[in-house]
Amino acid sequence: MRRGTRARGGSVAGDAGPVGLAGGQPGWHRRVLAAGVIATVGVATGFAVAPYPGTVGDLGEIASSNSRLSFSDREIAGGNAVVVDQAAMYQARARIPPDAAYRVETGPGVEGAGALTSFVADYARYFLMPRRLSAEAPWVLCYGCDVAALGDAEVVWTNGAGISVVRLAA
Amino acid sequence: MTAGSLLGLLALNLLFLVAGVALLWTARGWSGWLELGRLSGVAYLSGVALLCSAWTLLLVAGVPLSVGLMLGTAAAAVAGCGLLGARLGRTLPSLGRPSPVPITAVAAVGVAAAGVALEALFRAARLSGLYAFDAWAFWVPKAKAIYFYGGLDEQIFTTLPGPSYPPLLPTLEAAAFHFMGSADVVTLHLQLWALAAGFVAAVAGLLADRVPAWILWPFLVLLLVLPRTSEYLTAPLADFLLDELFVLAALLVAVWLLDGGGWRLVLAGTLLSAAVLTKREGMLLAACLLVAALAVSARRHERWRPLLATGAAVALVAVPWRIWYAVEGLPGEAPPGGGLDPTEHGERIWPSIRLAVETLFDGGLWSVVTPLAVVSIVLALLARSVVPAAYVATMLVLATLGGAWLTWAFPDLPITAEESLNPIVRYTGAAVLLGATASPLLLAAAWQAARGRAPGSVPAVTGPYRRTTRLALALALAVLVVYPGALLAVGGAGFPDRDDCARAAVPGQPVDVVFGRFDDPTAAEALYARVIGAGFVGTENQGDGCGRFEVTLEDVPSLEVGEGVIAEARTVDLDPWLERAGP
Repeated sequence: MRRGTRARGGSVAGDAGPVGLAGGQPGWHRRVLAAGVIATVGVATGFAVAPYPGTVGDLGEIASSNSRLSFSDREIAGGNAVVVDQAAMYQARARIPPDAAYRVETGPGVEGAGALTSFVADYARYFLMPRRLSAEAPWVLCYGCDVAALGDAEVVWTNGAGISVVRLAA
Repeated sequence: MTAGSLLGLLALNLLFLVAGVALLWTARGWSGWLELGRLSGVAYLSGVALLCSAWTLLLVAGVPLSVGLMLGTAAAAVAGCGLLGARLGRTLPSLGRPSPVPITAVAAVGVAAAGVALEALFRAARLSGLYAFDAWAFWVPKAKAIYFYGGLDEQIFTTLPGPSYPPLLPTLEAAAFHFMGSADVVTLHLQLWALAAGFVAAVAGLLADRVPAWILWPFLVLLLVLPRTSEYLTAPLADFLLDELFVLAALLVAVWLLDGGGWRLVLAGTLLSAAVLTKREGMLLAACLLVAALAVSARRHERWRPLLATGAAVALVAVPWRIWYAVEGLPGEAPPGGGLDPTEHGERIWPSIRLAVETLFDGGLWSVVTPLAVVSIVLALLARSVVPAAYVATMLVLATLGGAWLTWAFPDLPITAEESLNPIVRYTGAAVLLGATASPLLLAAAWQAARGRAPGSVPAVTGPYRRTTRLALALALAVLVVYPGALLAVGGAGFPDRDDCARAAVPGQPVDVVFGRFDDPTAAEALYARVIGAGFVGTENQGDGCGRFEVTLEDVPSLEVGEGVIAEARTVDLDPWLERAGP
């Protein structure tokens, strides 16, 4: 024990095992244990240290690319793979009052639609809250839907490529 | 994204810390403020568990969540703990009493390395958009519903995917929204970061008086650089929150099995209560923990009573949410057919077990954590530290079999580690985190045996060594300050807002002539009609990239030409201005 240090006693109740303290074990057994612990910690240290600079660097890159995003790219985020046109979400949010209800009608006629566009209603529910999704809603977020089939409807905004915000007559 | 949001989150997390400190004081007391500092991570996560469980149960009971309710609940928790603590004879510690645990140079290096990794995670999380599918598909919408509508809105909570998933995470996120003052889903990532940082601090503090720093810190740093953790630790999903609650509870029980300190069981019960309200897998993991602890206590029947009492308390906390969704007529959490008949889908049993084991040992996700945990268990057994080794081994086996059971019992789940199809990777995180954090405890026992000492304690250090302690602390603090300081010196810390899209015009570069920028698109349309009517051909009415609508004549070649356009516009009562062109 090094000078100036003092070991606290403090054995732990209930874990001595039938043989008692490990001090009763033979020398080779202790050496094996010590080598095993040192090797295990060594491996853990190696696998912690080796990727460390890369991980911190990668996180720094992510931070930089996050800070370079435009405000709307960051705000829409996961929806960029879903909504086709960010303007649709912003137009819907600006035009549909916060206490109003809306529904999402989909169809085949959206230019640029991808596999994830089918999740647009889920994304709209997240993005447009507190506006509520409702099957009877007077507002319609139309993704390639047949506007004429909606009945007496006013298109309040369209992107000209299959997406529109529609208000139904009362 | 604002400084106000950050301050709001700070206030919420201070509230968690205060509640947790009160709980820790009641359950345990402490001898000095430095000791409290060491256990502050444990206190913080216990406070998160205590308050979020209380708020969740109140929501289930129909009480709307509000700042007043949250502050009132926290005040009641602190007052209740204070009264109980006084009754139990707890006293406040005196100032200046030295920490019973030495802070060595190795510990300082560990603190600095983990701290820098956490700082890097903080930077990556601070301006992160919400990308995780499950986060925007149901976790955050549930949180927004609590925030906007006050309670467990029936429409949202019964129609979103995973309707039977317990609502503690959405409750926590809604609390964060309230304290931030808005549903700021960007800054929300920092709440998850705080939980991760609290978890690392909790494990370090809990084990620091039992595990030498040179054994402990490599594993904690390894944990932070795992491919999986660095990618998902701050995503607003329930997986890592569940893992953190469960693993800290498991470690507390592991140490309780060694020293019988009842306070550990109180905190473990609090953490497990939150775990069963976080994800349905929380029930499974809590059961694994309880069974493992009971099994290794087979010869110590006096331990069964407190363990069973803790289990009963946790089960009691789990009940109200299960009643809520049963009343709402939602499908339960159990698999179709109950998941107990091995003759059903028998052909899936072995592939499910193989998938669970392969996922546990997947080096691409978890590096070498699982093999090291297995070696640690073997070394602890060789050192005759049977109880903790058997406890950790039993729990790893049970948790892995639990993962296999999930895959087998839900026949809709394909036998694959593909995350969008099967949750086995997310589920396995709990076992891996347990392996990473329990390994140091087991290795310390083996090391003590190798040195001929009783397992369980680390020599405390006094005298001249304290100078080293101060130097070590200074080194750790210096590194922790230098890293963000250097980054701030290079680029500063921006707080993006909607005004960022208005950029000052620069001589010698193209400019935009902006006729107006509006929150209301109808106002933009009206101005656009006027501008076009006045003959400014080429003007656009479009989004400005910051969620507003602008009427702009883009890419005018120079400042001078732009000023000419402005002069012309003013002759027809328009009042545009110039901004720098570009994306």
